[in-house]
Amino acid sequence: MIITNRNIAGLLLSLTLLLASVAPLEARGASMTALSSGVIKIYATFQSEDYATPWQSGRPGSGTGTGFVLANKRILTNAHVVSNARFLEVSRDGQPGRYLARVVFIAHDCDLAAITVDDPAFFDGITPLSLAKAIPHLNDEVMVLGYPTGGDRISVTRGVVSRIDYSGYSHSGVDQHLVLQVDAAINPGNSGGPILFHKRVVGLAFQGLAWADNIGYAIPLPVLHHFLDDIADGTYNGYPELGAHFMATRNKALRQSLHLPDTESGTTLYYIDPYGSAMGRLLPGDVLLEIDGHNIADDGDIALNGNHVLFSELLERKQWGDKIDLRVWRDGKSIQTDVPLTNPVDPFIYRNEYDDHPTYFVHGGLVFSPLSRDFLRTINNELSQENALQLLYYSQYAKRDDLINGREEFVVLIRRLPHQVNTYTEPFENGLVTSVNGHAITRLRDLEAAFADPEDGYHVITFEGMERTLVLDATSADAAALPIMQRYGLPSAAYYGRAAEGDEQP
Amino acid sequence: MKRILVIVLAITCTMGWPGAAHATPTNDLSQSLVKLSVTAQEYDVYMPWQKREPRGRSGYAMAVGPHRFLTSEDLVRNATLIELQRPQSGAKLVAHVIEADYQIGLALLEVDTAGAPFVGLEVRPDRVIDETTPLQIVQLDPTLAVQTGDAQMLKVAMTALPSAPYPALLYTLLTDIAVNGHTAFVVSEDRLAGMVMQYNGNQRTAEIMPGSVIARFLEDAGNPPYAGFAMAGFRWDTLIDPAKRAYLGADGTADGILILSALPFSGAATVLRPNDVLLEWDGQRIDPMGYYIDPDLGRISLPHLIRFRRAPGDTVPLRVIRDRTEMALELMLSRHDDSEALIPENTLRTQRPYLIDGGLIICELTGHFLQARGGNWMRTVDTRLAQLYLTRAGAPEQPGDRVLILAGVLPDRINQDYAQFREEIITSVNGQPVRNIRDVYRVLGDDGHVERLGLQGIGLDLALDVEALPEANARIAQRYRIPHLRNPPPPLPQGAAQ
Repeated sequence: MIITNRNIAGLLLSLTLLLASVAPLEARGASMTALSSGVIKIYATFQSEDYATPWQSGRPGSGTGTGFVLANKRILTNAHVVSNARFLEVSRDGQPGRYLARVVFIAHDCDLAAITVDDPAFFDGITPLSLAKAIPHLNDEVMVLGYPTGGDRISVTRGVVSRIDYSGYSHSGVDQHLVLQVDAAINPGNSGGPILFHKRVVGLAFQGLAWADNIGYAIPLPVLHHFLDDIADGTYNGYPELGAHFMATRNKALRQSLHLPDTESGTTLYYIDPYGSAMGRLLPGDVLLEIDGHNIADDGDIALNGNHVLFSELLERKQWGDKIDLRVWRDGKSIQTDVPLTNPVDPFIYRNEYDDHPTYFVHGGLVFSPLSRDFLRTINNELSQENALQLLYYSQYAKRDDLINGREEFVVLIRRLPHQVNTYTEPFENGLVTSVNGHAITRLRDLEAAFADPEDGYHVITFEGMERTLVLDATSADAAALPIMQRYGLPSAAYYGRAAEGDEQP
Repeated sequence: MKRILVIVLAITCTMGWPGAAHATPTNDLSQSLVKLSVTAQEYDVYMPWQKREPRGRSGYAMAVGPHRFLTSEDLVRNATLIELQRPQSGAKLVAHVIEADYQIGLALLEVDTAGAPFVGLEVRPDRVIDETTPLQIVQLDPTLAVQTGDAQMLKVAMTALPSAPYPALLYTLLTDIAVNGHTAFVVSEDRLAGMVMQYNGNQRTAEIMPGSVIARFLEDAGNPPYAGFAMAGFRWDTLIDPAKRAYLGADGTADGILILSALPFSGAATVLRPNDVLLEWDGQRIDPMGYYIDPDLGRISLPHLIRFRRAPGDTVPLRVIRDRTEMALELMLSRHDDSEALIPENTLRTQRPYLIDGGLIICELTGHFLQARGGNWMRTVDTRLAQLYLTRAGAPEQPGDRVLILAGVLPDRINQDYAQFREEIITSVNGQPVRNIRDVYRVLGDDGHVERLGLQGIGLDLALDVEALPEANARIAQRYRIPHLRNPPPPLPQGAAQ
């Protein structure tokens, strides 16, 4: 977890916890020194984006996190430690000076990043940490190393593995993976630090529960391996998504309606995501009976290494391009099929966004931007307002309620920059644009051409679910476009993203 | 300092109101004003087969005849017992509702037993009440003694009723008496001039329904069938933006509001179109903010002209600009019926039709269902339902369209694993499309069962074991204490289209 200069509220509490953890470190002497040499402190200067005023960024902030060195001079840490970083430095425990670092790979879907230091002197005397062969069991004692708030030197805390489960990864806001829950103290600044079992890494500390005691979460070994395997070819592809929603198949009538014999068990699919790997391969009403040779129980569990886990844990181990073999119950008979796993760009999944400026287009003082999770956060207090609630609905039900309607993204009038040409447009703020001057708006880039083609001297904008239409006098609005930008300090009328601009990471 | 303030206030109060004539009612109001005690019970929105805990309410009623009384509609809403208490004897008389109109918040009661007649107050029907009109607030104190205080007219406006989402003509009075709850009355020169609908203790202002509306309600309620107050059936917006006025061809006039849409079952449906500019209604020019100059009340908003100057069934002339051309049209007014909405408010919190089969509770979505979650309901209910309510509640695409939902799942082995689909929208029953609860009963017939339930956006029907259903229904009814698993909608009137 990154500590910003603005966030020091937890200091006092953390101090108490740290004092309690000093004794074990001294008692274990030399072996601890070797272990701690591979655990480094990360200093990040970051700049979050401002989705309410997308042409400018927020104030730079700074924070610290932890990372650990692997054999190939790569430093593993959390994506959230280095996301939106403008300047990165690292230091070693007990060593003077800081070294410049850079991000090599970043995986927002599993909150992991690999960074490195170009100065080879940094790695002198470091004993890289090794990954364990298997995750620990419940109640195994683990050790957490890191640089949490409350001091500058390395900190050690101990606890036991209290749960192994699936849970949400808050960095992306939408992804779920395996997590290791430990009762060792994990505090802001521990993020990215190793969790050790028998001196080998079994996890990486990444998030906690603000309202609970002694609950800290670590990214476990299988997720670390998945990330390292993924980047081995020099590209991070990300977790493939099956995109199939499933339910238990215990209900007798449901089984009968599917003509599923008592001798079969499996989990029933009730929705196929149009952007998932299963699209075109699996159908609602299919019952997944086996996955890669493992029988699936009616509640979706499979037996894996002696444990009963949800079948999706097997999917977690797959990489982009892999396939899964399935035995499926469909139309009253068992069939064998496979699903190649991919992860197509899905603009309607609404992950938190990082490492690029928000895209926007402005004309006549009207600022448009694609609907995003980050923008929804800026209007969180306005959700009782009709337009804002509609955006939330579209973000949650775009696919299931078939709202996409040929669009590549939902374009929103996110605000107006007040000027006499747009005085009466306030009720349209947070409206989801359907057309401009008769041109259907399927993506942000469509706006430019649409505004270039006014209707009989007017710009006419229609919105989803809105009976009103927005009308601007085209001549006045076009003439005011530049003065409005100058008045409000906009550097340009549009930004279409790093890829479109051919920019480096901002 | 606090003490000084109290003294100053007390002096002010005893000094009366500058500008307002100070008058004391000459009638003995203890023969007219009674205390009203109501026991009321509304239906439970989540368990539609049962009522919630009975609750008591109290207020006042004013005699408008020997045995008839006026009070507010929300006071007697869902009443299981209404009792009137005479101030002089303390005797309680049982009464019943003759007519209650939630759209204007008024109710007419009649005592069940003939006893000594009350002295009914004559209603002052004129609209003109100004700052010089002598007005008195009358109410009963805890000992049932008549208490009076002066009041002064501040303003008149069309304002949403506190008890239902309908605009009503309300006058705001400044009072020198702390009004103890709504349903206190306003008397002017021995005549009934209004009823308090809402009181603000901090500002000492009372919102009152004027005698002009009361008189019309009483006349209508006394001559059944009750016709009620009119609606036109369109949504409108102000039209101030010069660019938009020019775009719509209304730049040559200073008047006109923008028509947004017409409700499909209203008189406006076949007359008005979106983007019409309404210039004139019933001979009155409508300004861009939606106001007109009323001969009695001055500048007041258009809904007054629709609701209180005409009656359902009347035809009104209007002028609009459509496609840049001015034209004359005629529109027949009707009475708004909440039950025709896509998502009815169910302001009255009456029992809604429902069906429980295999523990699946099927009913139509209402505003009451959503708002029962509390003040923060928009954040706690399913976003899809909240969005539908906010954007389309009043506008079904076809008459009869409702939002049919799986309102709840009563856990039982017959519906195992289905609880996760609570609050989903139901689109089909047994493979047949359904638009409302009436469709569900039509599909099932007299003794059929829900075998399959289709849900919006879910590619799989929920199935129920038909053979096990009778036993499961009996078990569920017994375990969850449900007296009736079915409550079908009432039959449609003869000749009515669904």
